[in-house]
Amino acid sequence: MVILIIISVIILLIGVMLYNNLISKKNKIEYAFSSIDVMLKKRSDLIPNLVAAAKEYMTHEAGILTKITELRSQLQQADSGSKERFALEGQLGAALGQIQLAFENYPDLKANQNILQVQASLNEVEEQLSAARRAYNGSVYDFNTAIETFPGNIMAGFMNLDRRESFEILPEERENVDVSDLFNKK
Amino acid sequence: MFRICLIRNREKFHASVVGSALSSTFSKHNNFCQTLFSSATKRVELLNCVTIKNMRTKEELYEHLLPDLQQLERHRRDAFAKGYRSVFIAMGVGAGVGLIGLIIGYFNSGNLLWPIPLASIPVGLIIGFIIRHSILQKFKLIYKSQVVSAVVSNINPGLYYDAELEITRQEFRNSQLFSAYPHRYNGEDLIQGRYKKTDFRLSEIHAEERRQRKTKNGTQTYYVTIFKGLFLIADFHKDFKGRAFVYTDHAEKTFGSWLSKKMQYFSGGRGDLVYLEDPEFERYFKVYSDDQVEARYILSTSMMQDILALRKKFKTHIQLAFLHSNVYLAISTSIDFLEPDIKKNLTEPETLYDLYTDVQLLLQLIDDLNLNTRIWSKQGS
Repeated sequence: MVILIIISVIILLIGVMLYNNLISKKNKIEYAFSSIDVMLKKRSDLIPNLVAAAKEYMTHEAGILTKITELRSQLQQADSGSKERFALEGQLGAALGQIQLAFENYPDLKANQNILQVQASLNEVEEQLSAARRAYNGSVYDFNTAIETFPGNIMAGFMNLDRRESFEILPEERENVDVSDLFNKK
Repeated sequence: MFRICLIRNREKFHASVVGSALSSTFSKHNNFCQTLFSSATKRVELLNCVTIKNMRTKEELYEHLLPDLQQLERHRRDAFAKGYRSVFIAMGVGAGVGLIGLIIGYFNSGNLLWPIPLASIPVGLIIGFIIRHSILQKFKLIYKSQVVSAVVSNINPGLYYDAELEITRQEFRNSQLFSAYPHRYNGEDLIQGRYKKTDFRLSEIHAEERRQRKTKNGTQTYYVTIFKGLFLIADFHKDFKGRAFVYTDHAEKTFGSWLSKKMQYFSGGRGDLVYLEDPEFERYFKVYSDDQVEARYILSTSMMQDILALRKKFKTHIQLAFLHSNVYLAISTSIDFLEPDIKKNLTEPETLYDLYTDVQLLLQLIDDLNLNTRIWSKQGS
């Protein structure tokens, strides 16, 4: 009888530990996701400065600048967890990449202190964004391994935990965009 | 001539001291300058001050330094000969004392006192080698203060070299890389200043911890090396707030991936374990940090590659700490950099070129870590 009680206490303890472990891993994913969110917001906050500084010089690229501003305002309305939002962020990332490439054509602009500052901040935020995505993927990997290996898989079954998807580079960002094509758009 | 040069050096030093981290050694340097001043008159015939226009090629530098090198070469031979002479003399004295012992013993009691020569000859030899070592050491210091300084400031005028200074114990402790306290702490060959866009301090360090063990005759004190090798402190090119530590992962090789992951959880108060995606990096290193995102911001994919490349280059353990907006890099090695080979002729161009390559290799560390890439908002001030 005593042995039975001991065994059930041990099983209960293991169960509690497994449960806590999985919850902590799930929370880590959410935490990592929120840091991506923070970086994305930080990036879109840089846009007014960028547009203000670049607009005087980049007469030919007014199209991309308008597009970037539009994307930003759409983003402000989009639901923060939605697919639509991430699609928009992807487009924004691509457009920002292009505008930075286009800077190369304007020697005056490259000497402008404001632009240099915005550019440095953009580089920084992109690097932080990539770090946040990697951190997210790291915690997703950790979580997925935990819920798919024994004994975590049994507990995960009870808790109804599903496999999470890791962040992939959005197609818009992966493509090597033809800059001239974008400039021809309105 | 010599005084003027020192004053110049001091001004250069003023200019190169940037930030509070670097200023702590300033007073130490001032004292050092004063000691040099006082002994300057003694050395003036030897130390013909090297005033250099910067950025000569190494061939030009050799041409320029040749008169000094010839003088130093004479000094080297002299020191070399003097060194051996002192060994022979000390051994001779030892033998003499031994002989006297034998004679006195023979006339006094009829017994030859063998223990006296048996002890006095080795003692003489040891004393001889100690004297030789100090003669050579003196030569090496003079060589370093002249030639190594010239090479260092030729490569970059913003750099300052001192053979007798090192990264301080406090700076070493500040890195938080090693938890043991360094009771015995030595170092030499400090290079500091700004290389391209990066402020740094670099020196050789030997840090040891004092331990005690119980033996039959009581407690015995002995020292265990915490770290021996090159230690670099440099301004990191990105802003960050937290801490990240990169250690060599000894367990991964021995125990395999799964068990070593479990063992790595014990971080010794350095934050949580950070898994990084680069499998090669994970095989050799383990990373701890307070902030998972920031650790990845610091250890970008290219930084991981740079650290791996550094490991391959030096073929030894390397460890890094990122904190206080600096990177601390510890490369364990028993190679003594920037030492003149006492057997080599100094007037040979190759001798100088080898030194040149050594200095470049050391400065290269900053490029190896890509610290001169300043495309983020933290610019080289």
